[in-house]
Amino acid sequence: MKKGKILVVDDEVNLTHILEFSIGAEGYEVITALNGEEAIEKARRERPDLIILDVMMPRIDGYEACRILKSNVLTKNIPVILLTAKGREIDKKLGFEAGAIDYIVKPFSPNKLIERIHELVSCRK
Amino acid sequence: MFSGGLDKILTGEAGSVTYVIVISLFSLIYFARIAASTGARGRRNVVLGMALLLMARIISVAPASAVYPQLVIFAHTVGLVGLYLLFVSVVTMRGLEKAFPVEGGVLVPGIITGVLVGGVMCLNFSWKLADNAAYPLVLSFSTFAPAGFLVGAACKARMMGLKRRFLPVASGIFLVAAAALAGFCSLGFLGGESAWRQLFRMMDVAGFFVLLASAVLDQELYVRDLWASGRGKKRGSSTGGRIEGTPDAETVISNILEIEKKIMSSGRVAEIFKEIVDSAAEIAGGGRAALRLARTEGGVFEQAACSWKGIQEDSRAANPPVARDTLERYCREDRAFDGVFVLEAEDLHGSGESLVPGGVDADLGVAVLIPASESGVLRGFLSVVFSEKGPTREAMACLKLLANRMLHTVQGERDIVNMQEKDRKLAEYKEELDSVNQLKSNFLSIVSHELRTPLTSVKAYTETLMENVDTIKRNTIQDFLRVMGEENERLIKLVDNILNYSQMESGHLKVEKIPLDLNELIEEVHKGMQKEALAANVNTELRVPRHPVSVEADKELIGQLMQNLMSNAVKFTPCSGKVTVTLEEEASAARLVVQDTGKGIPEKQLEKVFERFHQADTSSTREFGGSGLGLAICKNIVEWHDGKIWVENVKDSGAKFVILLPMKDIVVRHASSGGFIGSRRFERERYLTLLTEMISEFLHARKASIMVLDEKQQVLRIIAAKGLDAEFVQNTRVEVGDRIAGHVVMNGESIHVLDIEKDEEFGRSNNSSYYATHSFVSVPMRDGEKIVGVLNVSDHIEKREFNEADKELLEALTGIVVSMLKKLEAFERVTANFGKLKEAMRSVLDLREAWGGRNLSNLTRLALAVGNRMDLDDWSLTALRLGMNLYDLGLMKVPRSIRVKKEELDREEREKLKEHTNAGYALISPLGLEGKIMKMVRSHHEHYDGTGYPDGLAGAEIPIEARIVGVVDTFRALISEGPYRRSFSLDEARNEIIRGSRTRFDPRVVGAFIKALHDLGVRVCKNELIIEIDKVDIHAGSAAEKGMPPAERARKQVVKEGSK
Repeated sequence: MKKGKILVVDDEVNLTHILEFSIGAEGYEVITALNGEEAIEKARRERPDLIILDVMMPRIDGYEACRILKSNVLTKNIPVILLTAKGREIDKKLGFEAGAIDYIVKPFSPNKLIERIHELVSCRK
Repeated sequence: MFSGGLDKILTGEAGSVTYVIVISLFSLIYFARIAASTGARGRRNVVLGMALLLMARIISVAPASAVYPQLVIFAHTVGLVGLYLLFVSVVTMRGLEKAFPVEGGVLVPGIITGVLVGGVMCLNFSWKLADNAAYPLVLSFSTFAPAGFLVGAACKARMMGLKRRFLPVASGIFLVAAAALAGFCSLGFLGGESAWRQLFRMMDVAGFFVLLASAVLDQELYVRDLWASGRGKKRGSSTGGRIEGTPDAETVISNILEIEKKIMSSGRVAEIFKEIVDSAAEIAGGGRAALRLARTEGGVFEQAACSWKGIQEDSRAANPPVARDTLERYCREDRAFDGVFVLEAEDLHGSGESLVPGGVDADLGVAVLIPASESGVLRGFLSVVFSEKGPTREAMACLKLLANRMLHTVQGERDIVNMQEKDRKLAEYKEELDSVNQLKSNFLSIVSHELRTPLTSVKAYTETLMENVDTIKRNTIQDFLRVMGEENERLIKLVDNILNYSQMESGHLKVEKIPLDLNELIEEVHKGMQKEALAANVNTELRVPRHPVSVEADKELIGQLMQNLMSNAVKFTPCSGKVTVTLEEEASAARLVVQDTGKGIPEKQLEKVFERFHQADTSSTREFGGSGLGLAICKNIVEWHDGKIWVENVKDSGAKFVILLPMKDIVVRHASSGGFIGSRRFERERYLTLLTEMISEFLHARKASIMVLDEKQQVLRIIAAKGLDAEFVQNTRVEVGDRIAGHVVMNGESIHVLDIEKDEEFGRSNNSSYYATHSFVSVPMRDGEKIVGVLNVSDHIEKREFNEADKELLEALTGIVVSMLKKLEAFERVTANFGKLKEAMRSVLDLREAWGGRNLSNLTRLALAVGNRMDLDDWSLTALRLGMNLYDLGLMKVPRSIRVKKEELDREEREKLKEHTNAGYALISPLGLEGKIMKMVRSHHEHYDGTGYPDGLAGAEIPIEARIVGVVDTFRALISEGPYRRSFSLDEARNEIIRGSRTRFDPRVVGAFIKALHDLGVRVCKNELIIEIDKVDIHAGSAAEKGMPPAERARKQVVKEGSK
């Protein structure tokens, strides 16, 4: 039995690959999406336990995607961790306002991310 | 007079002692007063004169004189010198030396007086000694003595106010009478002896006294005037009985106070000038006054304001500009009157007539010119007509005050303009700073993202690998390492790009332009791209011509350019798409096209993709990918090679990047001498290249060269040339006076040879390798009066001969070239402006290319023909000629998508298009062109009824040249295919123009335009203007007829002094 279902969203394929690998190695089921639309669609369909969402993406960016997720009944209770290269306080504030539960600045340590995933998923269970 | 008085003393006649005492006392008192009222020099003259007179008397009465008559002669001579000094002090008092400077005015009459009187005295004595032997001879000489004093009297008459000439004139009459009597005596007509002689002496003395009295009175009146005017001011305006037309000092002073008040309250310069002339006209009582100012340094005084009241209706518009030399001809010392110049009607016929407001007519009494100079430079003048007898001293003083006021106003205006200029510059700097700031933050946000992304991957992969190194399968590890390698590569590329770009921006990039085989290079890059293309599953196709296409370029940079564009294309092409690279050779450029089958670029982004870090919002960054630098670098590389790059969307099949790389035949000599040296060699080369290209483009010359004079060695060297081989450019030295260019420098005149083979003078000095064609033009470049170099053009593109109009155009261009070369010289100090200058030149060339040089030159001919039919002066025509090539420069600033758009423009786009007049104005300002041309650029979309843009000028407010350009430009737009309509035929276009008469266009211009269309036999063919009859209409030989080469003036005026 998997520990939980994690949706990883980033337009960098390399990054989704490695996250898929490392999070998967911890016993989670990992699904990936490469842009905002795909992320929203997969979140509705798959109902993951946690979403890791990149901010800087074409068309629908992470903030926007987060807001959309939070405004939908099906997805509003799924915690979202924003993943971004923007590290300023104002960016964090925007992220939290959009409904994210955490905000991790790139480049980040996968181990730390996994720790957060453990915390949030077990908390949710 | 004195000669008589002294005579009496010497001969010891009775009564003479009384006479001597009276006259001595009188003189003493009077001269003491003069001494008190004159300056130090005057006092010195008075004291010295009195001392000499006293000495003369002492010597003459001394006992020794009885024994030695020579002593008496000596005494007389001394006495005369004293007398002369006193005379000088009378003249020089009260600042009158201005009117009669000692060097000329006083000295000449003084010497004449001295010599004549002295001669008479000496002869008188020698006669006495010789015992009456030569008596008739002496008498005849005596006539000269009064004549001498007559000169003095005339001087006095001029010095005094015109109304007070009575006394000097009276003294003159006495003196003439005395002279006549003496003459009659000497000829023996009057027979008798002493009675007539006494009468003559009495007249003589009377004349002198009256002269003296007039001097005293003059002084007296002056003091009284001052006192009266002071009292008048105190009394205020209560005095009622003033004489009409001749205002007294009181009126004048209150006038001036009034003017001052108005000036303080009204800020507008034009109003102040109007007040000044109105007051001046009132002071003169004649109602006519005009104020003219030197608008340019060039030397023409244009009317700034005029009081129309006293000017007849029909001559109201006709106060023509006055040339500086005309003014100087009339402002001579002999007309000077205490700092102003008095001219009478008879003085003014001919060119002087232009000085008088409303011209010379029967009403004209005296015209007065009041010059206003500032530190020795004449800035303007006030001309006032006095219809009465003449100006009073007060009137003069007031007019001078007014002129002064005018000067202050001009200074104030200039200060304001300077201040505005500074404000504008400051705003410009601020804008620049802001945009740099914006760029910086864009840079940070984009670059930080771009740096973090690969770093994130690398970090994530490394960490994961380290954690799981024992458990991961071998091929997964390989996968991981491959990704890490890729990401690392991506980082390296990014850092490279940033470094490259910053190097280019700072101008420190090393560029080595060598002949480069583009076919080979492209194939090389293509090969290198294969792997990437394969990975992305994109086909690539290469279309290169069989023969090698070669350009002068830097291999590494062009390689980078191709690499960037191709990898960009591959990146944006979806799976199984295709990237096509095409190389073609055009007439003067190599054309490179990189086309992909992606989804293209949004229309709004077409212009922006080349801007550095333009992607302000993150989403578009992600869409286009990269650092936001790749295309900016491409653009930079292309510009370093003076090429052009743009992108267009191919319908339904992706984007197409087009690059034009010029196949240059312009050679720039390596800087070594001539003063124009920039340490940034490549910048300098590009700049000179552009300049040379501009000259050749304007003249349609295949060959053009800029030669600069080395003043020390008196040698001309080519600094840049088109169509000449590099070795020739590098090694040519032309001595002044040698060959054609040398002649041009030596004589300072242009040389225009129609056929070098047949030219007698230069046929042999012709260097055949240089002057390959038969017709050429060489013109001198001037910086002020100094000749600094020569411009040469030869080999017309259409294989025709250069004509007189071409020569004049080239002469007009020298102004721009010199100012540009000077800016190049100052380049190291003003880098920012230099960039703008290049941009301006680039736009000039782009505009010509966009419109087609031939079409443009036909339009120019049309505009000039219109100008000719409206009797524009030569300078206006020259300005029109240059202006026609520049007026739509601002269009180059309008986004290409709007310029070439075929559908109707929306409101926002129309607003953007309207901006082009302002944009052009801003673009052109660094070129330092003369105001007329600037106005053409700015105001050619103004309508006659004031509904145009940008300033909403109406009627005559729009400069005439701009009105002409407006009509010709509309015509051009009508006959070419418009943004949302078909093109008009000639007749339709003509009718359209006629319909716009009075509303959009000046009816006079429309009339001239229709006539010009007809006269030139204009036809329209495929949206292009064709001029059928090759008339020499353009200049109509006007230069020769009017006596002055227009280009001579044009050259001086094209470049404003201030723009150095």
